[in-house]
Order: sequence, then structure tokens, then C-alpha cells
Amino acid sequence: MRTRAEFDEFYEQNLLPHLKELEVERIKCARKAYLYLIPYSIFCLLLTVTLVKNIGFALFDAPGEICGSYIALIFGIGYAIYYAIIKSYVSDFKEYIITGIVGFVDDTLKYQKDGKIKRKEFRKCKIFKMGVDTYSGDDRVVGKIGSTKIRFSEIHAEYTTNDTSHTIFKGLFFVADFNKDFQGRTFLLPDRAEAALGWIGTKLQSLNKAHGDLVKLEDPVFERLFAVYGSDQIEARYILTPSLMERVVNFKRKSLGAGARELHMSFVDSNVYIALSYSRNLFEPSVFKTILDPQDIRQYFDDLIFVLGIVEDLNLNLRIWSKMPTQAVDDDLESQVEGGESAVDPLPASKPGVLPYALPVAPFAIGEGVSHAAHGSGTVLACVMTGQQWAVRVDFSTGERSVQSRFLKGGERKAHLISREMQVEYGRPYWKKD
Amino acid sequence: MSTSIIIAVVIAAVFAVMIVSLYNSLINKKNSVENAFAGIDVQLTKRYDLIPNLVSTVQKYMKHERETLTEITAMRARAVSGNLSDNEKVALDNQISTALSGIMIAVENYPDLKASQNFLQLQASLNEVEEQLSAARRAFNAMVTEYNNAVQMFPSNIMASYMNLEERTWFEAPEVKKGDINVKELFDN
Repeated sequence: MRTRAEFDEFYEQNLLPHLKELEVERIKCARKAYLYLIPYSIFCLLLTVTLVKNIGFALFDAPGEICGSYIALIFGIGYAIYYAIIKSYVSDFKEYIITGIVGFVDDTLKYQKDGKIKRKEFRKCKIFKMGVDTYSGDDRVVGKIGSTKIRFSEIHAEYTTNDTSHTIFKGLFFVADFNKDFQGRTFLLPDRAEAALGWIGTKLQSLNKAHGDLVKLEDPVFERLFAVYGSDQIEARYILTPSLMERVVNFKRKSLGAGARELHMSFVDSNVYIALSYSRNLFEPSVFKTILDPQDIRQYFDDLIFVLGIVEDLNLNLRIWSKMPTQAVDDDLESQVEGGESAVDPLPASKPGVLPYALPVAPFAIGEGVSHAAHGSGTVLACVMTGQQWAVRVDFSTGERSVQSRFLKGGERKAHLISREMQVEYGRPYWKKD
Repeated sequence: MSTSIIIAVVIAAVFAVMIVSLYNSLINKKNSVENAFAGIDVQLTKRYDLIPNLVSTVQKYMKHERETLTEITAMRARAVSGNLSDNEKVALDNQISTALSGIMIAVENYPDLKASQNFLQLQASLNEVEEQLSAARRAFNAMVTEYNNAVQMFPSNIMASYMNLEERTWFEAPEVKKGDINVKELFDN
């Protein structure tokens, strides 16, 4: 990990020139904001006063919706104006400064200022049981640290009831592939009941079956901070070893120091999901305060180092169990993120008794031009026999795709079903019992 | 009906509900303990299945460890043969643990073995089983704690003595493991 001293040097050499330019832009934005918003607020005030004078205080006695939507409209328009003013400045700042800092820390990491973790994945972690009505986020980073794949972004999720929205989660949402394989789900939720009520609190917690059965662990400090729920008692202990529990406790303390208010964790589908609730935005530039203060810029660096440090803090690079480090190409990383490059479908795995390489009897020759109804035309890269059909990997103009041979029209079309003779010679499809 | 009869009936009903719930919760805890012990059994079986694989992979390289290897094979045969009481199972398991850890440490002396792909995967499987086993043991201890709590605390201890339920013992580390490891001694072997 990069040190502070290295960052200070990077700041001097690479960031400061950009920052000086951006400072000019920032001052322009700030002035514009004052120019537009102060008259706007005065206007709104006058409007409210006139309405009150004419309709009387009936405006406030009116049904909540009218009053609420009036206020919402005022603030909505005000925010829209502000957002329009600062939009390009924020975009430039993130493009130069944040991207620079991410690249400086680790140039294999991919930063996208408008990217966010998919809503599906946020729901998948099952930490927050409420349905999400409004979901937004930005500042997504995707990459690999050591043997661990990570991705994180800022997320703001809300649910609405009767025109008011309540925050489900606002802060940093971090996903990493865990160093052990497991089937069920385990949750670490902040433990308020036990700290406040002691033994009775624990009893109450065991009645809350929303996340599964309560799992009582041995580490007393850990137990005071977290309530653990899981689908399986043994699996929860398999994941939460005493050493991991200690690491989580230390990480929780570290996160409080970094400004995170709450920590929720869940282990689902061999991944670890960490939801750190922040009250502040992490990677946003300041509009009304100068950006030439190195302390402020260093805060971005510190935040980034803190998040990337989760892998070390939880020792996720220790891969001595059956889940060996992934050596495969990071194709599936792309499919998990929104707004990324087109998904690259992996070729189906070959089954025993079935030859995996293109034979002369394959439907298309490698390099042959084929066309598809939806994807257009492309060249064949490979053909794989899977069961009764051929899966053909084609390089279309939109990217590589794996499609069934019967959907492709090519030059000379050979048989695209595996005939009985071929079955006899090359082995039966794997699912057919003798 | 006079109020005193109603009160008596209500009290009797509450009392009956209490007795039933105490009985049920004790049965529940007792079964959790049995279930957790069965979980340990499953992991032990997995470990026994890995031992022949380990012995065959390792014996080509580890010429000096032949004795330990034959010992482990014998212990495994005994464990798999069945007809062991719970305590015997635990004792045997502890002995096998000690022998296995001895072999794993001795592997340090054989760099060829450490680099072999077969051995690395085997080591990962063994680590996996050890991790699961230790999780199963911890789960068992947790269940036993809850069960013992119920058997000893008031008012369920009255019910427990009526049902003739006794305390169970936790899983403890074997005596050999608890003592400090003398590293020099290990490397002298």
C-alpha cells in the first residue's frame, strides 16, 4: 500500500496543477450558485409569504400532501438548479483527481465515477430486509487485491411511504470474494440489545428470526458489538473463526475512526458484503470551500486506503482452504457491474467423454464468417460440443458471444446436432444414462 | 362460578403451560447437542477418508516418517471400524489430530513434497476439514453450554432432574496439544 509520504509527493507533482485549474472552475461555480440561489430563495420566501397572506394559515392546515409537496417542490427546484451548476465541475474533479488518486494507489483498479454496485447485488446480500424504492450511487471501484476480487461503490438506498422517503442505507458498500466456500448465509448485525439489556437482550434477539437463527459465539468483545444470525450453526463458526472475529472487532474500531457510523456484514454465496454507513459523502469535491488544502485531498487518499485495506484487515488473501485463488480471467467481474463493457459469456465447460475442441465435423470452421439474427455478423473463434448441441464462440462486431450453432447462418452448414454415429464414436452426452 | 375456582383454574393452566414449555425446551436443547455431535462425526469421517490419500502421497518422499504413517493408518482403521463409544471416539480423534499435525510439521523437511501439486491440494483439503472440524467442535460446545445452563439453572433444573437429564462435558483439547510445543524436539525427529 502506498504511504502518506509517497502520496504527498504525488500530490505535489501530479495533482496540484490540476487542482489549481479546478480551483478556478470551483470559484466560478460557487459564484454562480450564489448568483442563482440567493435570489431564488428570496423569491420562494416572498411566494410563501404572499400565499399565506392571501389564503391565510390555511396553507399549513391543508392536507399534509399539499403542504409537503409544496415544500418538496421548492427544495427540488433549488437542488436541480444547484446540481446543474456544479455538474461539470464535479465531473472534471472526479475525472482528474479521484481517477488519479485511484490509479496512484493501484493502477490495476478500475474507477468509474458514475458506476455503482448493481441493485440486484445489494439486495442479494440480504442485510437490509426492506424493499428498495430509490437506489442510487456513484464512485465505483473494481479490481483485485492479491488473490481477492473486490468491488465497492457509494450507495444511497431509500424506501418511500406516503411521499416521505426513509433512508435504508447511505454509505460505502463493499463486496469481496471470501477465502472460504460456503452454502448458506451468515449475518453480522450491530448488537444494540445485548449491550443495553444484557441477558434479556440476547433472549429478544433469539426471537428475531428475520435473518436466521441466532448464533452465540465465544469472543465476548465481539458478542458485545455484533449479533450474529445464520442459516447453519456450524457454517457460521466455520466462517467466523476466533481469528476472524478478532479482526472484525479491530476493523470495526478502525471504521469508527474513519467516520463510519455503523457496520453491517453478511456472508452470502462465498462472498463477503460489508455495508459501512457514512453520514458524509466520500469522493465528492467541495464547492464552497477551497480545494487547494492538502489535508482535504489527503482525506480522499485516506478513505481509499481504508477501504482497500479491508482485504488485509480481514486477511482475505490467506487462501489455504479448498477455495483456491482464482487464476481464471476476470470475465465474470464485468458481468457483476453496471455500465461496464459488454458481458463476456464463458464457454460452457466440457463434459467427460466429450471432446472439447473443434473437429472437422464441427458446424463451422474457425475463422468462418457467420451471421446471427440479433447480434449481426462475426467470425467463428471456437466450437465446443456440449451435450446434443454445439456452442459456438463468435466474435461479433458488438463483442464476443457464445451462441448455439443452430442460431447461426454460415457458409457451408454441417450437421449441427450430434448424430448417433458421432455419439457412438465420441461418447454419449453426459446426461444420458445407459 | 365463584371467582376462587376461576383463579384456581387459571393458575393451574398457567402452571401446566410452564411445565410443558420447560419439558419441550429441555428436549430441544438435548437434541441440539446430539445434532452437533453428529456434525462432528461427519467431519471426522471426512478426515478419515483423507488419511489414506495423505499416506500414499507422502510415503514416497518421507522415508523417515514410516512409523508415524503406519500408526496413523492403524488408528484410522480403528476409527472407521465402528463400535466406539463417544468418549473413545473423542480420545482416538485427539490422537489422530496429534499425529497429523506431527506429519504436517515434518513436511517442512521435504521441499520436493511441499512443491508437489498433489500434496498442495491435499493440504488444502486437510486444512478445510480441520477448519470445519473445529467449527463443529465449537458448535458442539455452544450447544452443550446451553444444555448445561438449562439443566443447572432454576427453574428448569427441577424439570431436568425429574427427567433424569445429566450434564454433558465439553470438547477439550487433548493433553498433548495443550502443552507447549517443543519445536527443537520436533525437528530432531
